[in-house]
Amino acid sequence: MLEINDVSFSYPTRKVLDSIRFSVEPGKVVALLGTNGAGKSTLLKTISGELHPSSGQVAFDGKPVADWQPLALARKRAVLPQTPTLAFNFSVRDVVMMGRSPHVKGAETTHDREICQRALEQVDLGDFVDRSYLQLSGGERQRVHLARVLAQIGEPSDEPRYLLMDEPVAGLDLAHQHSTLQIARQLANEGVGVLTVLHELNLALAYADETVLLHQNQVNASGPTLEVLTEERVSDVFEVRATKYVHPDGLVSMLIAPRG
Amino acid sequence: MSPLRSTPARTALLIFFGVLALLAAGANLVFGTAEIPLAKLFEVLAYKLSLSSTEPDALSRTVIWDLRMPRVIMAAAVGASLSLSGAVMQGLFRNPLADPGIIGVSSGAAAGGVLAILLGGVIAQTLPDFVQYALPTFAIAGGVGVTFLIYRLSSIGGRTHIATMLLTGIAVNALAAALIGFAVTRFADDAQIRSITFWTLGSLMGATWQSALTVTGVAVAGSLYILRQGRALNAFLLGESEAFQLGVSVQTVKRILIFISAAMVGITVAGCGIIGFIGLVVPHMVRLTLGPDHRWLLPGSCVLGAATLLLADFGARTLVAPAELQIGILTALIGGPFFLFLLMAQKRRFAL
Repeated sequence: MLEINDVSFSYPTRKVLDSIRFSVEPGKVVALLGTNGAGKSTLLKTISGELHPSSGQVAFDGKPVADWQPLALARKRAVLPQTPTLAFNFSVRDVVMMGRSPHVKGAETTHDREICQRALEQVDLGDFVDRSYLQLSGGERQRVHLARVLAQIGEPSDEPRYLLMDEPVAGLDLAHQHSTLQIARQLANEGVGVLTVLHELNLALAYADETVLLHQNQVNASGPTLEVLTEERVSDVFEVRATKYVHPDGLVSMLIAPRG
Repeated sequence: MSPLRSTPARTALLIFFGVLALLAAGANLVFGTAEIPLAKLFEVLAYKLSLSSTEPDALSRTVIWDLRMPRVIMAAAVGASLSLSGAVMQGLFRNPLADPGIIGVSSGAAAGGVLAILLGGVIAQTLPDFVQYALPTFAIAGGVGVTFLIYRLSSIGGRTHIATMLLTGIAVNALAAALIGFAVTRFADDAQIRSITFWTLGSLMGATWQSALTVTGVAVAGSLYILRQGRALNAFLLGESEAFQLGVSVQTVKRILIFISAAMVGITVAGCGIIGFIGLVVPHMVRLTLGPDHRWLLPGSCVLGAATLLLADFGARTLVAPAELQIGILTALIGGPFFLFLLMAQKRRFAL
């Protein structure tokens, strides 16, 4: 279980997170939604262990994040950054193989190479292993990094695993937005706890078991996605007109229009 | 052109770099003002390494073993140290333009060295046992200090600002040049200060067994740590946050790497002045051929660095024989245009 217990974070001049409390169970996809500046990225950084909360605590499987050795933590949780930058001429295989680095001692084995190949196939880039990373498009690079984190924590294990994603669909076309979240869904079905920052409500409604809605640096609401994303609350927080639409198969979407 | 990807091909190229280094070392031992036949070289080597009891003539022995050998070892160690430091700094700063000479690390070390000489009298009075270590210690301190300064000044949120890094280099280089100029003109009669060109253009001429082995010792010790950090440096190329997420103890590894690479530059400067551009050109050539993976880049830079400086020294000793060219002139003649070329290539990608 990933627990966020009353986490607050302040920069010298302003408070960015105010007593945030929720948890991510292995096997669940949790969406983190909120307006710009609500503190989503900062929250993700305190959860990954990069920033230390001013008060409160983040714990993976009962152990505070600061007490984990970086290497042990890297075998348990992976982070997909928002805009990864890499200006050196690596092959796609090399980049994905970096995801294996917390697991590998000495040289990579056939097993590691199989995991990389499978990860690339999952993100639809199976033929790209020998391509040069710098020659890929922005969206393709984003998917290479998704394959990298899959190589890091995708391997089935008895230990709980976690995946943190910061706007994983930014810059992706519609089909790959959905396939990215389908991969997240699939990982959750295999027992991974997924926490993902999203902007598109309909992706949350389609894929997230639970949603945490941040507003003005606090948790406005959290719980099952359908209970959190009500017409009223969405209209209120995002200052838009929101109308619920139920597809024939029962899937719920939200139609968004400007306030009249 | 894309770099080699297969392990056998990369190994073969690495071996080729090694053979190149050995050939260059051999050429430096055989050719020179005093003509010594190749057979004599093997005779001297066999005798000195206790493989043969035939005693070669005194002239061959002195020239090869006492004059040329320390210089060859010095050239190899300095070339390997500068190239390896360059590769490490480029990885840490995530920028292929980070050369210890350009960003001011070498100048900082030179300024430290000159300061040690200026303070020689004071040191001799207060810490007489420390005198012989003062120059290398001050040089290392100068190099390390400048590197941390650059890191503090040019890192913003885990990313290095190229312009700030290069501007810091300009400022440090100017300050160091002023200090060296002041020392050399003010104390021109002090043999220890040596010439201004020693510090700014470097020279392997003064290499002795002692200085060569000191530089080699530091190079070996530093490489033992650095060569094991290939995977960590690869992760650094993604960014410091990403390196941490991949399990690297970012702050610890970064501090140790900065310290070791700057210390390696410092000790070479104490031994043979500033030899520029090696740390820029060599890792770049290795990236073009072996690829950017640090597990190949680091050993490749070591070996090709040694070969490159041995070849440069061969050029310096033979091109204008019987006189000798400053080795820094040669490396700058090749490295300067190369740096401009890299800048132009980068301008498109980074927008300085």
